Amino acid sequence: MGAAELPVLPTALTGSYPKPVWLRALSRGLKMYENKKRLKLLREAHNDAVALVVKELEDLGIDIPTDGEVRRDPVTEYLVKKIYGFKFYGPVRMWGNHYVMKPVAVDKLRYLGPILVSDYLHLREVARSRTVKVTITGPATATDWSFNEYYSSREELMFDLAKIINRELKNLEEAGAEYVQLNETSLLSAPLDLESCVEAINEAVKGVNIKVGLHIYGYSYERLKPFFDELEVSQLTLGLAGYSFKYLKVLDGINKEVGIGVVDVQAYRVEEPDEIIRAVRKAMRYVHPECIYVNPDSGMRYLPRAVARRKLKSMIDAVISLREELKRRGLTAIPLRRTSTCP
Amino acid sequence: MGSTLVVKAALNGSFPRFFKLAKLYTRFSLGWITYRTLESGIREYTRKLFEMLRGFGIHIFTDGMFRYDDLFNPLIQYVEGVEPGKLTRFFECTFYFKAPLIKSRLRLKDNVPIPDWLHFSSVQAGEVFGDEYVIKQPLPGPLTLAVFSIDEYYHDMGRLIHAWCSEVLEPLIRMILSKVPNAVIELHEPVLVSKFISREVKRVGVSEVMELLGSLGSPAWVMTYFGDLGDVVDLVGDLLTGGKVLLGVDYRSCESPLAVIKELGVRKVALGMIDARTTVLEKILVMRDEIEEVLSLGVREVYIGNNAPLDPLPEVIAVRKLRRLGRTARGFALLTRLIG
Repeated sequence: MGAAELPVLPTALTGSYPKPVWLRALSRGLKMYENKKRLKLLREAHNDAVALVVKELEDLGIDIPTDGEVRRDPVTEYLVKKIYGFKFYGPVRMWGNHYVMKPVAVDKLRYLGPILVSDYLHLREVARSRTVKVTITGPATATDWSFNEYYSSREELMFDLAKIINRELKNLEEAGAEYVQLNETSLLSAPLDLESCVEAINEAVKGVNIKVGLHIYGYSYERLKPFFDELEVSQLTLGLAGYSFKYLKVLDGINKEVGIGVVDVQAYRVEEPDEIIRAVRKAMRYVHPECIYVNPDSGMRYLPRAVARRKLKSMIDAVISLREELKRRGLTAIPLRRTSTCP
Repeated sequence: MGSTLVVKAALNGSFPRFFKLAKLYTRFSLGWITYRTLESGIREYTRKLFEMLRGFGIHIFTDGMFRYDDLFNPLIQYVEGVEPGKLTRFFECTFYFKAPLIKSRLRLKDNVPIPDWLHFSSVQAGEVFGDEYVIKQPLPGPLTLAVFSIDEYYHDMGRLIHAWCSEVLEPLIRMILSKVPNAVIELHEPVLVSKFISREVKRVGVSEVMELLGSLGSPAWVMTYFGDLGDVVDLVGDLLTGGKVLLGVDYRSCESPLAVIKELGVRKVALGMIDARTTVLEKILVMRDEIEEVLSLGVREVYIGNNAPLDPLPEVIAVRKLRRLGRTARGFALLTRLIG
C-alpha cells in the first residue's frame, strides 16, 4: 500500500463518539449471561456498533474515522484491564453522576499482549476510508487516572506505562495501522512534572514508524509550548473551541502538524460553519494549511448523538467551504505525514 | 479549660455518592422516577451512611453531601447572577466541578432548600445517634468560591469575595442556623493554602471569613487542604482569634504540620489524617503517633478526619479509611478512660 494522501484540511474524529442507545441497553441486558457467553455477545454487539458509527461518520464526510471508542468506558479502564499489575476497587466519581473505573497499580506492570490490535483490524475492515485512526490513552493520562499502591513515585508508574504503550504501538504498526493517537487529556492538569511527561511520551513512541498524534486538552497550552519541538509526535491535536479559540496564538511559530478542535464537546450548542471557518482561517495565520487537520475539541462521548452529528456536519460544511478557497491556491491534497515536523 | 484530652473522629465534606444513588439521580434526570422516589433514595442512603458512621464510632459528620454534584453545585443554582460554567478539575484529584460563572450581581434566592436538607439529615442523625452527634454543614468559603468563579461582572477579586460572603454565605448560614441551631458550619477554603494564589487575595479572603463568622457568632470549622499552611500561618492566626473557629490542617499536604500547629498555639485542631487522593490505607499506629505528637504541643482537642472531600475515592476505600479513623479515635478514648 503506498503512502496515503488526504484532502487538504482533513477532518477527523478526535476519539469517542456517543454510543448507540441500543448498545447501552444491550450491555445491561447481557448481565444475565455467564461471563464467557456475555463477552462473546458483547464483542459482536461492539463490532456492530463500530460498523454503525464508522458508517455514520463516513456518511457525514469525516475523512479519518476512529471506532468511536464504543467498546470503552472513559479514560483508562479499557487499556489497563489488559495489563498485569492493575486492579479495580469499584467505580469512582468523576463529576455529578459520572463514574469511572479508576485502576490501582498494585504490582509491577507487565504487558500481556496486544490490547487494541483486534479492534484496529475490525475498524480497518468496516471502514471505507483510506485512513483510520486508533486512539490510546497516553502514559501521563493513564497515570493520572490510576491510583498507585506499588511504585515509589507516580513518575515511575508513568514510565512503566510508557514502555507498555510503546509495545502496543509497535504491535499496531505491525498489524498495519498507519495512524495512532495518544490521548493525553490530563497532560496539562495532572500533578506530574511536565518535563517527565514529555519524556514518557517520547518513550512511548520510541522506534514507532507510523503517524502518532498527541491529543491534549486544557487552557494552559503555553506551558507545553517550550516542549513542542521536543515531542517526537507527528501531530498535536488541541481542544480550542471550548475556550472560544482564545488560545490559538499558542500555535504561533509551531513547526508541527496541528489538529484544531473546532467544536466544543462540553456544550450542546451547535457551532455555525461560519464560526468554524473564522477559527480555521485564524489558525492559518500561524500554521500552513498543509499542516492543519480539523476535528472536535475532544471525545464526543457525553453529547447526545444527534447533537454530535450536527456539530460534525457543521464542521464538514465549514471545511468544504475552506477547501474551495484553498483549491484556488492550488492546494487540494496532503500526504499522511509521519515526521515530527511540518511542513 | 480543663486538662481533659479529646480525640474524636470526624467525617469532613463529602462521602462518595453511593453508586446506586447516582443511578437514581440519573433515572430522575431522565424522567423515569419521581422526585419523591429520588428524595426517598437520598434519605435511605443518608441513613445508611449514618449507621455506618455510628458503627465506626464517628459522631461528628456531615450528611455526606449526597445532594451535591460538587462543592459548588447545587448551591450556585440558588444564587441569582450565577450559572454553572465549564467543568474544571478540583486540584490534583480526578474529580471535576462546574465553575460558577458570574453574569450579574450575586444574590441568594429565596427558595434555597439547603437548610431544609440539613434539617432532614439532622432528624435522621437524631434517629440513628440519639443526642450524641454533631452535624456539620459544608459550604465553600468565600475565597475558594471567588477564585474558582469565572467572573464576568465584578472584575475585582476583592469585591467578588465580599459579594460571595455578604450576599450569599451570610444570609444562607443564618437560614441554616435558624433551621438547625446546633449545626456547625464547615467552610472549605483549600485556596487559602494554594501556592498559585497571591497572599494579598488570601488576606482579603481571611478578613471576609473573619467578618462572616464574627457576625454569626457560632462555631465553625475552616478546612484547608492540598497545600502547605506554613506560608500563611500569620493570616490563619488572625482567623483563630476568639476561639470560635476550628482550623482544619491537612496533615498529608502540610510540609511541617507540627511546626504550624506549634506556631499557631491552638488548643484544638482538626487534622486531615486520611488522604482523599490515595487508596493506600493509613496505618493506625502511625496515626496514633502523629496524634500524640500533636497532643505533646499542648493541644487538648484533636478532631481527626479526612483531609478533603472523599469523592475522589472508590466507596470501598472510603469506608475502610473511615473505619480506621474511628478505630484510631476509639483507641485514644479508651486510653484516656484507663488513665482516668
